[in-house]
Amino acid sequence: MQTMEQISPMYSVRVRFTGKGSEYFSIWISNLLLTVITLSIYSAWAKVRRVRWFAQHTMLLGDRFDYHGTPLRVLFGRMIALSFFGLYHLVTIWSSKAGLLVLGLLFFIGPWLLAMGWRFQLVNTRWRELHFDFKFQWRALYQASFPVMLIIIVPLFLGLLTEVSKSTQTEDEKKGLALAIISVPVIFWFLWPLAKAPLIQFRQRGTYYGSQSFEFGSILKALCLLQLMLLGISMLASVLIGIFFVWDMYGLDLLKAKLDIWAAVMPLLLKSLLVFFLFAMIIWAVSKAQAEQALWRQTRWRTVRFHSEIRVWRLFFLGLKNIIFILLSFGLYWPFAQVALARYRIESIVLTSEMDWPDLLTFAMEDSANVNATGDALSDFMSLDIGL
Amino acid sequence: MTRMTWKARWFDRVTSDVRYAEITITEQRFYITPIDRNGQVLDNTFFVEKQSIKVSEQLGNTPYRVVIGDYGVLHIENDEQHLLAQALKPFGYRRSLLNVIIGRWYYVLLCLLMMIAVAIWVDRQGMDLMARAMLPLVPNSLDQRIGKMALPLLDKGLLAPSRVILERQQRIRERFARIMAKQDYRGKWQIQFRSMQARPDMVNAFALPDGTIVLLDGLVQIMNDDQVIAVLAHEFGHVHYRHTTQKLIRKIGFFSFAYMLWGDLSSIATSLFATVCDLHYSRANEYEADQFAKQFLRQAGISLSVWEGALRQLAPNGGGSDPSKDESEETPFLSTHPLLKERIKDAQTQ
Repeated sequence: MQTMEQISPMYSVRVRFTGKGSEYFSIWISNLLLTVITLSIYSAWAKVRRVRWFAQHTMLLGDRFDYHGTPLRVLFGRMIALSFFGLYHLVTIWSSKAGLLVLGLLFFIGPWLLAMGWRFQLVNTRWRELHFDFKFQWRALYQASFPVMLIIIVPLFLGLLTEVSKSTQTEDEKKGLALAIISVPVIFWFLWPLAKAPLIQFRQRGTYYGSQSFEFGSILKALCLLQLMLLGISMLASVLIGIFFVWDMYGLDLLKAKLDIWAAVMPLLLKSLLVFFLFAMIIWAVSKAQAEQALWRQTRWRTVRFHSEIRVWRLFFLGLKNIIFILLSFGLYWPFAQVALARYRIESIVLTSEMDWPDLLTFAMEDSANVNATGDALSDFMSLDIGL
Repeated sequence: MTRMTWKARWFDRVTSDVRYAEITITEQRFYITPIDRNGQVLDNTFFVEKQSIKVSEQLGNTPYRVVIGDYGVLHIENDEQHLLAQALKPFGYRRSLLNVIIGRWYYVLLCLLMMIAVAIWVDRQGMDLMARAMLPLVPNSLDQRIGKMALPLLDKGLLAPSRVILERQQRIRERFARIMAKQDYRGKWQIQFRSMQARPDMVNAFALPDGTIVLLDGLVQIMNDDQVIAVLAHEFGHVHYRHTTQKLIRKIGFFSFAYMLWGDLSSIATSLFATVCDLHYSRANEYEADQFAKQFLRQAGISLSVWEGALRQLAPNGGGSDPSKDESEETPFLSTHPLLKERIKDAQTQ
């Protein structure tokens, strides 16, 4: 096995994005209009159209990707998602305990729906007329999902416990439970990488292009480091906001304040809001960029390695620019923002290979398995996007 | 007739290596000549019959995708004169109308204008209709639960005990109870007197979904008993028609509407959108409650001028002033209620 230090010719190629914001705008606005008029029934067609547009404008080695999911399947999946929720509500009306049971059921098939969603997306994507795929073992699926499920279920359980035993608790018990519930978000924050990492690994390792699966190292360390970084930034932010606030309050004319609280406090609030917003953007840029880099660094396909040149500060300024333009344009800049973000992300991806591309890509493919649209729609509906 | 040739990228669907071919298209056949990257012919030309050829839908300026039977798939770039589309017509290629106009400026402008029109309509009437339609699906038990939760929360954070003398409170309660006993309204109700913690003389009244009507001291003090009864009637109208629940559905409705608008991203945007658009009962709801109040008073044998009087008391300067004045300094009761002028006028009619 050749190591990186050895001198071997490296072939590298960038992914290109050829889409323009102005082009996408017309698709976006007509999708929007038709979706609203048809009370969201058109959303399935809208989604296919959108995903297809982004796929077809992503180019690798001179060829575009393509997406051919059928809207009807997406619609069907969404109807099933809707009926799950309808079922839950109907059952709850009849009996709240039974409703909880239904919820529990949905919770347990959650991972399966997620996997099905990934499968649908991948099987309908092709490059150079070969499809991607997602294959998995049940045990691996639930093993990978277990940490996330635990993290979701523990606070719920505690909350339920509080509700149920409210009247029969002693003061100490109440305090203990309250403490437990408060500490949950803290624990949650630290355990999140532990929950996310196995799922990402599971997803990447189950992804296939043709008959060859992707390989994926371990992303746990990177995610933990990221969490610590984010924690540091958040703490810095709170301290700064606190200082600003106290500073301003100190200089506030309290007499004037008594007469019209609103006018006195408003500039204070706005300033704090602004600082808070800036830090939120920083956190967003840091987590997105670092996560993206970590993800690609660990991904491999045959001898192809991936690399993302995405940078935190560039992402930050892009995000800032997007938000400002979106606000100034009453939302109309949204599609342009989406395209700009996609372009930056996609064109930061570099593939390197020791083998020349034509040699590498000559291999046989297996038939793609049959496809299930339900998972896709349900995950969409619940925004269960655990992907990075 | 000169035959055009096009260069195509050719995929055999077995490997993902790319091959190249030169294509000539007749009415019935595709003639395919394998070439290398530089255009050198690699092999003999072969042809594929019409029935084995399938042309896919094409969007924008992406290559045309043509399946050529068992030989694989071709990706053909369009030429400058766009003759390829013509050549592909005999093979079933149809340009869908949507794809043709989707890039045109007039289409975009039309969509934009229609979108704005739809947004305005939805805000004015659509949300109401939807909330009203969904009301039967929401059980009454939900109303009770929300109401029960709401009052203790309000008492903790917003409300303080009332300073109206207990005797008057009892008087009002008993009077309302007598009228209610004669009427045919089912469902629970109760009257609570409170004052606002921050502004003890605030003039307001509101109803919770479970039938609790809260009267604030300010209002009780500037009105006589008859007028208070009228206000109670109006508020009970909100309860009777489940307007608060409707308001809640409208709020949830805005969430899903906003979700549609901005897709599966920015949850912040959606929650902002929802709060900004829904601060009040709709005009239709207020009108309904007003009609209910009038009917109630009629059945109770109280003159309608009482309701008109109550409304006038709520005018900006308080106490029998000119309601045609500018409403910029409205009392809280009014800032969430539609035009006072209209309602007073309506109160004067039967």
